[in-house]
Amino acid sequence: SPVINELLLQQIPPKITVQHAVQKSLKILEEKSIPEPEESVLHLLSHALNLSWENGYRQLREILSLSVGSSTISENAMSPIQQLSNQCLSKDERDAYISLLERRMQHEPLQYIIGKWDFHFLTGLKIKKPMLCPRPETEELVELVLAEVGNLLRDWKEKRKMRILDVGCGTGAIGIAIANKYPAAVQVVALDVLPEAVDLSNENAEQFLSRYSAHGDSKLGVKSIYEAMLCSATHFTNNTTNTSRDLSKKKYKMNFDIVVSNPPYIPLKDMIDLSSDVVEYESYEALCGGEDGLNVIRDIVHRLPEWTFSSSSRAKHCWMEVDESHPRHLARWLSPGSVEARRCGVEYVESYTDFCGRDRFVKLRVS
Amino acid sequence: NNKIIYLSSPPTEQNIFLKTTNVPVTMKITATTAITSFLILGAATTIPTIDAFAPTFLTRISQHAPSTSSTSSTCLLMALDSSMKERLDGIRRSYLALTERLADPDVIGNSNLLMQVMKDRSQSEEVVQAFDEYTQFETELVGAKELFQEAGDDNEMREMARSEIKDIDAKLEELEERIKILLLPKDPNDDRNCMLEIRAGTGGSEANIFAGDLLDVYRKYMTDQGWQVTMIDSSPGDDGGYKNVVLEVKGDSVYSKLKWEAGVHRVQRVPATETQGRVHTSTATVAIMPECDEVDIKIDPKDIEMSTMRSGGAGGQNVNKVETAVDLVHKPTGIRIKCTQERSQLKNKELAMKMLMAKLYDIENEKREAEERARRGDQIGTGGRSEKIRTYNWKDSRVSEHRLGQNYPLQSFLSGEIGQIIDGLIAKDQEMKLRQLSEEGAN
Repeated sequence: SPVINELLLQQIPPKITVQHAVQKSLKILEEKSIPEPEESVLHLLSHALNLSWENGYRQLREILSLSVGSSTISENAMSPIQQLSNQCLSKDERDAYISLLERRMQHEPLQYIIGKWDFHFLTGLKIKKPMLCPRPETEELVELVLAEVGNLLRDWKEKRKMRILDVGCGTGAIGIAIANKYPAAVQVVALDVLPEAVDLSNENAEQFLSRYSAHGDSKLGVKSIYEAMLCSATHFTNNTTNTSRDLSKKKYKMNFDIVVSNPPYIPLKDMIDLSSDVVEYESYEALCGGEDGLNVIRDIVHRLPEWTFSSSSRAKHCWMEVDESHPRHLARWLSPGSVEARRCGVEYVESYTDFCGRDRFVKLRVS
Repeated sequence: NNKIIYLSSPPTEQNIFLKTTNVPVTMKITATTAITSFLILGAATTIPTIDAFAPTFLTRISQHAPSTSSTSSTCLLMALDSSMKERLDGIRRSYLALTERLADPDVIGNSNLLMQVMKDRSQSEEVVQAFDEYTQFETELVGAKELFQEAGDDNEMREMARSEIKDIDAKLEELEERIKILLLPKDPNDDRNCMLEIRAGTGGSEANIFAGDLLDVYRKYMTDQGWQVTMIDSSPGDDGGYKNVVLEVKGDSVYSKLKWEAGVHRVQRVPATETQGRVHTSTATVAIMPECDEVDIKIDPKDIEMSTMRSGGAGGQNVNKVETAVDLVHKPTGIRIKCTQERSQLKNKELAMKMLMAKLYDIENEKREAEERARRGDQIGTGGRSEKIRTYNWKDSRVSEHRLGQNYPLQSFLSGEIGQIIDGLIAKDQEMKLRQLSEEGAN
């Protein structure tokens, strides 16, 4: 928008210092009610100045808290922070920063503007629209699954790797974070309905997991640890009579030990309450789970017995991040011993709260 | 340079030099070994003959001898007596055993075990090497003395041998010092990483600014040391500096050096905000908390109340916010920790927990150390938190380190050169420990 551009060009003049750039742009974002104005300024300016990924935004945060002309009492040389604070933006840096600010003023998510973010212990996970930006709650989902993987590994008697299915992988965050902790022990298969998501997941897997595949299964490379495929939950089946799947396709290997998913789960009525940075940029399909938000979850439940089929008597679990309203629905629908639970072959085990105390995660068992 | 070296073997007819030289005598006495003979070198007065070698002789010698306390910091030092040598032999045996284990295929195949064996071995490496050097010099000394005896009337030979004996003697004494220090009980936290917290004390804005100045100094020092520094939490002051700031510091021997910074630092200068040029005194408190894990401190998850930016309103897929600050309260102690530094909420949580554990561990350590200090009744220690350890005076451009009773140039300190002060404190601490050990030995 030319109006925004004009405003920024005017308020952020050439030869502006880092400190002034921080202060002025913060005021602009606050006046325009842009959400998280401080984070926006810190991360975007750090990006424009090409500062270190780990420390750039922290240094800028310190500069923001420095009042103008403070710390001149110490007669020693300027600290690195003060030097950065007084540094003038080059023409390229100013241009870059202004275009980043423009995008943010249209409420574009920071992760999209910068193109990457941190998730769990993955530093700099690539993120692209319209794939969902990983949320902090999902880190807890990963931790829950990792705890189960750890437990299973203690008594692991199989000669093969543990197989994990990530349904609706998006950026690949969940599956890659799990594989990153146990690269030698697990193999992750990830599904998504968007080709861009499949590509991005495989790209991220290459970035984070190729270091582990150097030795051993070198023919398969990263695929021996992680592979994303274009497929919906419903279509991920070897049962060809129910779907229009190409008969010539080879069969999928189905003996998964753990299924994990962060499926689209927002009920339709709640979609209208979403802020513009979510609803205008992130994929609708990745967010909305239908009327009650359970559409994709139901698809997953129906496929669970086929996905986890094996000769082992070990209990197979499915872990999902869900809407707050879902745990009690699922507890009722799949109540152990109920008609529906027996028909589906899946039982509700329990739910877990997230760090805000919301019912956020469910654990199901294939019976 | 008049010296005594005492041998553990009784005097014999062979020790002819005892009969022929005249020297002033300085004596070193240990409580654990009986002096059976001594070699005296140097110029001067009469000495008794070997016949007089008895306890009475010792008393007579002491009448002629200058007071033992004239040898300042070397007084009351013990030589390597037999019990210490036994101990060193034991250490050497374990070291050799560990060295053998490193070649064991079972150990090589298990990386955790290998690391543990290497770590245990490296802990004794320095003292074993020093002791090896020591025993080697002892052997050389025997050879040199034989040479001296064989020299007979050959003055040139005698002189050569005597000077060699002096050299070896000096080296042995230096090694003794080193070995004794290496055998001192170590602070178990010395090798740990730590958290450094600076809290502005009395003085309002000026105290905050001073806290910021201290932070600058420490960061310079840490960069020089090659340590990795992360800021975990900070509350900036309104007029500059910090009300409170916490750093995580990782690297070699971090705690062993930084622990000396713990305590109250006082500054005397004209504040930036002062309009009439009056000097103010403000303070900042530095706390150094060694890192710890669940082995050191157990925290019940129920005792923790954690809140985040997402606590109100909707969460999950409904909201996309990057702020992942974590606010943690430990209910039993009321300790509150804020952690905003990481992009990942999980990392902020882990960092906050790490800080909490370090604080709780520090409280326990402080309690234990206070009990120790009370028991020993001593003055120097690694900070009671409220011990005033240093005063910085701008007008006189000096730093007064109260525990050492010494001043240092302010500019060096502000450039991050605090190593000199820390080394002085470490040396004084070692001296005190050595003195205590010898006092305990004498009892």
